[in-house]
Amino acid sequence: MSRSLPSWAQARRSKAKPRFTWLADVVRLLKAPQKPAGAPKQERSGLELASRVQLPEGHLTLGLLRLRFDIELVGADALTGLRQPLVFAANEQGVLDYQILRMALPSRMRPTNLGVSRALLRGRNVVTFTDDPPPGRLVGDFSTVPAELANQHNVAIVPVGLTGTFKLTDILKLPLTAKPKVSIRFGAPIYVRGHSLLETTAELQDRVEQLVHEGELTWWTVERRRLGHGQAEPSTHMPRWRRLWDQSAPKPKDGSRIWR
Amino acid sequence: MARPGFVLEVDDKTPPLMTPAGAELRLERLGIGTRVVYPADAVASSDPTALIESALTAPLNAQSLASRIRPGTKLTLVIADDDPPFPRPQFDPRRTLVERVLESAARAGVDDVELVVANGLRQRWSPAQITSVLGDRVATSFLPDGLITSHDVTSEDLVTIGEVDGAPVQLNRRVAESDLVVVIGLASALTAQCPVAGGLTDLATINRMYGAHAAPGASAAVEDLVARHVDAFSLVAVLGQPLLGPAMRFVSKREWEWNLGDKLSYAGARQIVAAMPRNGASLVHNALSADYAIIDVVAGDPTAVRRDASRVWQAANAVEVAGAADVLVTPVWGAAIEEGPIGSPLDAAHHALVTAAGSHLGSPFVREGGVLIGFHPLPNKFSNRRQSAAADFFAKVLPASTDPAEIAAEFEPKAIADDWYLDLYRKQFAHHPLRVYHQWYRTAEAARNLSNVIWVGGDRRSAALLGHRAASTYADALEIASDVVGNEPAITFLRGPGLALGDVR
Repeated sequence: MSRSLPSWAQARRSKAKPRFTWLADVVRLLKAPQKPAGAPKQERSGLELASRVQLPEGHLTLGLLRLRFDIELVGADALTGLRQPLVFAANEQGVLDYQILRMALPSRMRPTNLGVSRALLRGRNVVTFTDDPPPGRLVGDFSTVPAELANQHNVAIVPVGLTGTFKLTDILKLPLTAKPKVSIRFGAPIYVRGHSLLETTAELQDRVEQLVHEGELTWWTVERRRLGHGQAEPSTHMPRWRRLWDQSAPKPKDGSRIWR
Repeated sequence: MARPGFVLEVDDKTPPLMTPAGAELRLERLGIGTRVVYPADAVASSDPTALIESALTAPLNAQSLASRIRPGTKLTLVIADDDPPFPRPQFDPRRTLVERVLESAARAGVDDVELVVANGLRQRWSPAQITSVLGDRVATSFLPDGLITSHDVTSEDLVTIGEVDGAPVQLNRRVAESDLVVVIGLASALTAQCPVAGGLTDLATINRMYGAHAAPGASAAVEDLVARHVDAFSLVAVLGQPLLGPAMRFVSKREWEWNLGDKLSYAGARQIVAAMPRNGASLVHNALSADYAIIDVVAGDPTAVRRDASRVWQAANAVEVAGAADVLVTPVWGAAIEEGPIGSPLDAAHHALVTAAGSHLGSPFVREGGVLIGFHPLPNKFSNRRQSAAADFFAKVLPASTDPAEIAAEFEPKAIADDWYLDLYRKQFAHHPLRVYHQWYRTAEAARNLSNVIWVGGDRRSAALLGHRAASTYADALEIASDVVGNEPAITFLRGPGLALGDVR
């Protein structure tokens, strides 16, 4: 069984050669095209203040930050696709929290903590922090400000757990051989819709505490624990030195090498 | 709200219009009187969370999802992958849908959760693909424990759920044994195919539904049987038209609305492809993705959801066209048909004849016995891994016959039993060999209603193998067509890259 193809049905053998098309195209296109009859009017859409988040692979300030810190971004993927502006709500650990969070994010996502309501109106992300943590706790209390902002501007709240920034200015003065370890953990967005401000604030508090305690757990496990199933991690009283001790713990060394 | 699609009648003021062919982007001046069908405007997407929440709280013909989930529920999330949109979505809405359902499941304390990809004859998902579509959170939570799997139509571990016309219908074991199945999908065209019946059953059943000898009611019978055995809840995002990134935005815009940046981008993209014939196309098209506005999210009973999602898509994308044309012209842009920059001849023919020309409300764009003119180079190039069976189909089957009945009798049984193809399907994320056969049956069936199919700039041997013709230029193609349609044919041109739904009256 075989078909007979026409004699002129030959495969293309010549290879395409490089061509210069740019100038001719530009000249042709610069002649203003007329609008054809019957074409609908162009809609002048208002200037879009912000777009959906799409995180780049890496960026300059994060690279600079990595020169001085052993920095890890966890769950940044949770931000993908969110409509900006956003309210970042983070736990207060030390004086460098704000700067480190800003530098870890790409320029168009960097939040401000000044004139937050006006910034949200302009499409800029904002950040709010907890109060200082009371003795024995890692995370302070959130006020209702993040929930109020999110409610007023109809935006999402992104919980952020910061670890490793406690007393960081003092640590940086020490002649350390290893870079201090800093972890920035992003949680799933929280929407105020259908909840009271107090409920939203309680949920935010819960999520940030879980993020700070989550360690190496997966999002699914954390989500289940957050919602009261499975065994919740007790927030144990921890002496101050233990926090610094854990923060400065060296990376576990894997002795196995492919060449021996 | 996006501007709706419309039909432009070409006059002497109309600028040259985009006629992409494979990876080549070009502008072509069309004849006066040509009706150009523009799809609805492409607009940027927004965060679909609010739409999902409202869909979940008011499902169609079903109880709310939250009320159907209990701590002991065996829950399976089925990710439909029957007809994914190209270029691939920048923000895949399936990810947000999955996350919302998982949050509900976590709230209810469900332990037993698995995700199954209803890929049917399409390639099974690699871990990289799972991560890119469903995101890091879902991938890291479920992938290490093997809780995300792709369906294998050849698997021996399928469950027989009943018979249709005396033949057994087998279903994915996890889905068949689940207490609740949540089907998550996208609607980017007017299709009403059930993703569970077409994507999670066995090879023989799929062949009986969509093969060369498919019985007219087979598909509906299998869907009924599946609906009786699977307690399903469906969640579908209806997508708008593709909006390309700033560098390629001109493809999505109407030509007379291009600004200086669009014009420079067009000239730049063309120059890259022209200056580097080998790699330029990959450089411009390989990482291409598009933003799709989410028109609506529909949840509830699967049959009602499919029906309503189709209605929503129809309302957003229908364009009224006055009368069927003698000649239908459809450019085939490589990035809109496959993951590669150009697309294979079989994919190009299927896209032109089945997807683009078949996107209508029952009355076709082109009259019976009319001519279809496509723009594509039809290079004999296939992906070694993904399209091995398609390459062999093109090289060995089409030179022997183009008749679906002959091909189904002679070549199909050998292909679906071929160990190499099956190994590629099971382990190397290739399409199942039967897919290319089904694709060809649909293409041949569509071509049967036309007197000629002509490819502008197409490889002459490839066109001849497909049973079509090739022409060097658009004018030559019209001259060839004039033998059938005369010197003053009515011409309809389908402007891409998205699909318009033709309401031909």
